[in-house]
Amino acid sequence: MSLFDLIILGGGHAGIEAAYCSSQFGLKVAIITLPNIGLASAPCNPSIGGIGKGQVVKEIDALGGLMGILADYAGIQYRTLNESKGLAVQSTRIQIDKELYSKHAEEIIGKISNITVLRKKVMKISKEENTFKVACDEEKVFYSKKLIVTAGTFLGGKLHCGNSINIGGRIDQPASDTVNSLFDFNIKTTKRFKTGTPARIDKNSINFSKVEEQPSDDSVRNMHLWHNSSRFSKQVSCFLTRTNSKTLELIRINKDKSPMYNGQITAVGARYCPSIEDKAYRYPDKDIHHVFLEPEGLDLDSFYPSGISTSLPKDIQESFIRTIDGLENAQILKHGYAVEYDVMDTSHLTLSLEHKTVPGLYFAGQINGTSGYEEAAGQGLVAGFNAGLSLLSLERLILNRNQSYIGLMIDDLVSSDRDEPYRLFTARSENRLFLREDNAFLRMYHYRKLLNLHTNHDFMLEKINFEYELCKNWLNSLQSDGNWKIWLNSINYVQNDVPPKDILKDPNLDPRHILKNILEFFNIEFSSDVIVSVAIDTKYQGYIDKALEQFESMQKLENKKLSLDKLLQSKNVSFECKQRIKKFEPKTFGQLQRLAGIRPATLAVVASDAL
Amino acid sequence: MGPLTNTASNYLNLLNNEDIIIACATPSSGPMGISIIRISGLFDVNQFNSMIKISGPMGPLKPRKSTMIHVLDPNTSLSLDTGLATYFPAPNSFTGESVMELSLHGNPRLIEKIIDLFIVFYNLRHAEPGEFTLRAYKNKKLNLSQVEGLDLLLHATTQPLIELSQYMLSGELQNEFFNFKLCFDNHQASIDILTDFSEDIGEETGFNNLFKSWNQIKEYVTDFYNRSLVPMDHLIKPNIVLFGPPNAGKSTLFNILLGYKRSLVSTEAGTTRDYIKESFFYDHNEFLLIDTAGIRESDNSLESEGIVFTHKNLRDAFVRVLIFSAINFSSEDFNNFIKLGSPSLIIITHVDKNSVSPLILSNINKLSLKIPVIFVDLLIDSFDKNLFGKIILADLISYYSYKPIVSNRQRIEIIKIYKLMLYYDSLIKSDNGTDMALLSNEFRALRSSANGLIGLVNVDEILGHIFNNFCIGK
Repeated sequence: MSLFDLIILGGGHAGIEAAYCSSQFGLKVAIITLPNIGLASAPCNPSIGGIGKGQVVKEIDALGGLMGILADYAGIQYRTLNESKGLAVQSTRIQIDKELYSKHAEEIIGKISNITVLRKKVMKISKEENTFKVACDEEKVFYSKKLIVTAGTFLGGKLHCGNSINIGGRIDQPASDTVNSLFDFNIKTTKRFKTGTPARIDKNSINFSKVEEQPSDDSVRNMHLWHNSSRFSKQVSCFLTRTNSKTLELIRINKDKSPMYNGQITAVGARYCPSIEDKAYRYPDKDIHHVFLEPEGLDLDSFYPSGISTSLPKDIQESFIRTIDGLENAQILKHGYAVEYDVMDTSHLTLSLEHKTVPGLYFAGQINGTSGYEEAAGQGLVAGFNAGLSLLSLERLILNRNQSYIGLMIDDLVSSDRDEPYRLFTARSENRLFLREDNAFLRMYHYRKLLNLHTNHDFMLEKINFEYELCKNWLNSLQSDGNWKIWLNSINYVQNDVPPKDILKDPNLDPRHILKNILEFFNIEFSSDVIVSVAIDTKYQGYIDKALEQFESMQKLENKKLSLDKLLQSKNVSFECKQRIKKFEPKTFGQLQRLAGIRPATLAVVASDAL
Repeated sequence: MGPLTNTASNYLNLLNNEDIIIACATPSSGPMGISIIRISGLFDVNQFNSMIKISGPMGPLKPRKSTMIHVLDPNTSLSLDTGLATYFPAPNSFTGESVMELSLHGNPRLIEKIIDLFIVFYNLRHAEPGEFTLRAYKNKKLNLSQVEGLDLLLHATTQPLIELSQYMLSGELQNEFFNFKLCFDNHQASIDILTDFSEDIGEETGFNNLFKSWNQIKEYVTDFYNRSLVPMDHLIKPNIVLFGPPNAGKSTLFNILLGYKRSLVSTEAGTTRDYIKESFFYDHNEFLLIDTAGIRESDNSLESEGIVFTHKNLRDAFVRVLIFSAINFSSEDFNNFIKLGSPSLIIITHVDKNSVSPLILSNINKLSLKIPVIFVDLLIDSFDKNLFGKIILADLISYYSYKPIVSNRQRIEIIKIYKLMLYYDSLIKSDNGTDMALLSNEFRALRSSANGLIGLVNVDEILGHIFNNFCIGK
């Protein structure tokens, strides 16, 4: 009998992260994944990071996860997004060579002796007392004490491209059974979501003279904390082009052929990751939309045109793509499609992503209704560590929503039922001045310490946090004495009595350069990672404290209990509001406030009533 | 403040209280034609059968229909009074609870006795000031600005103010606030889109949306702010101050305006040393008319003190009326008084209307602002009270043309929002790129103030302040 401590179903971004993390406890771990798909494949956009998501990758990295390392190994174009919008909301995005990414994932996971990768199709999952029984094809059966399901879009997957419907998890992959027939015990309600991907274009057919080049930025820091600034792969460019009125007109006149708009797909897609059909029909006055042309790999001919995901029939895809500048002669390698799939109702999960009524069973990744590799990996990490901690009877790892995007995401997922795919972005955070990439090592430090692991990573993490404290203390103790005045003079600063800490708050100066400059003057050395995060933390400290204070006082109203009966009977609540309230059954004022489509009048009524 | 004044926490307790309350809703200081007793709570109308007997064969009380009844003494079953009862079953009533109103003969002692019998016999409780309105608010029959409108309606002394209070009571002001709130949602969305999705929509569009939505908010805030600037005392209790040199005839005019001799009048200058105020009525508006000590250099300490009061009254006045005598007219004095009081109306006394001296006319024509002038003859008896009233009322109405915001709570919130707006405006226009996270943080502060304005806050702190002002029975 093959008994594992932990079996992970799925070898995607959530699955490998769960395996990589849980294996650090020395447990016997297995990944069961479909044959013919490499680990950590990238079926949609070939990039890691982005706004909010870059922060997640750095949190994963600081917590001892894998994603940052893989992104660096496979990175072929680096960018910092939001560079002109302040230091807090900047994020790194790395275009990856998807073949390299998967290859490195296979290599790293393959080298870990306590992880077994099983290429099987899962047929049935049952529970015998406290053990999960996973029955696979070829009559193989595996047992485990804990089970993490990271099935992505494969459960009940259904593909749409024009009027053709195929059963499958991805374009060339079969689907698994539906959630309800896969488990022979009740995991409660599931629902259907939808996502989509654009056509892939042959790079030899792109007219690069008509598109804007966006080269890789060499100054961007690598994702992994302990990687220096050098690149692991050859760097290439991405390209920007735009749709025009002809493109949108074609899409609009073929509305009846779009599975999403003719009723063929009933599942809900993400508002924040709209298909080109969504854009065309929702914003009838807007014809110009950005299209980013992103290479999928150094040795691949295919380009990913970001921004035009579609499920229109193949011939229409072809003709609308060819209206776009630079794509007049585009050859399509693979057509775009939409996929409908089963997702878990995450309100049945705890903050450690364990099922509330089936102990030992965890869910992570796209099956939880999220979109994005980073979101998936973040959940894989939380599920992996927690399954491990639970096996060792240790305290669970719960990330606070005010200290991490991962914690924010999981809190959002389990505290309310979502009716569309969940994507992370900075606006979801009440504390975005603090949840930055540069201080991820600081924010994640005490969480990593709780795991009580003593790896090289832990040693390095302790060291950088020690340096951070040292640097901060030094800055705090710096007197505005003669030396300080000399330095101020050296940069020709107008105000010659500004204290050392306050100069970092000057909105006209970049605090990172100033602190570096000060340290050089006083002949003190710190790593640039430490300097950057001390500088930015000092700049924002007052604001962060104020924001948290406001947050606390808002919590008072936020946590007010609601009476559903009263709300639904109230004459002062509109019919539409009542419909949404009935559906989501918000229990607190905060949850009500976060529901889309609740009118301010309703909130006012509730706020004044909820005494 | 009497013993019935409640603190905010008392009102919080009252909010959770489910007693049946009773009070007289009409003035009870003396005999009246009718007094109305109001009862509110969750009751069954039949439970009062021992005290309320329907006169004649009309069956039980019908909702919202007046029925003739006898009020009985439950101890003796003898009739105490005959009147009308109207029953409003919950939730279709002022308070949202069941309400009964008894219209009885307006003898204060009789009404007291009937209320006491209800309290003792049915275990009712005497209502606290504003408690009926508090229940209406609690049961969402009124929102916060409607409650404030109701308060104003009960206390307003002029027609324009009554009109304004109806505007608040109808909920239209609250609608303005809600529309204002929607602009905040728009701007927040534009911040978030620019931060999180600028690759999707493009930087330029993102920034355009940011500024467009911000300008909308600025327009609202500036408008609310200007509407809050009107000195409120003037609107709630407009006072008219008569001022001028001694012996110009201020007290004589004062008495004529009142219609009776209230101020001592003599030919001796400096007779009025204190100030006297009385209500002056014109076209269903009540003003406070103030007669002041004539302003001059004086050795008399009592008179000097009176002159100090005059200056204070002038500062606090809504309308300043300069009374100036044509006798021994001095251009220098006249212009000094204009400067001192910037009057809205000038009355020249002791003048023959048919032959006003050229000196006076030229002085009036030289005034930089056009100020209405009334000439009064030697006896002052021919003074046109209506013309005076018309000019004062026109002045008052001009203040209302742009719907001033008169609730103290709202004004405080709006001034807070205005200050935050100015600060935020400097951030959003910063030349050194826009720090979106910082912007968003500061906007949150602004937003929570806006929530305060429409009552989207913990109302604990403001309850006492608002409801204290109400009389018992409302």
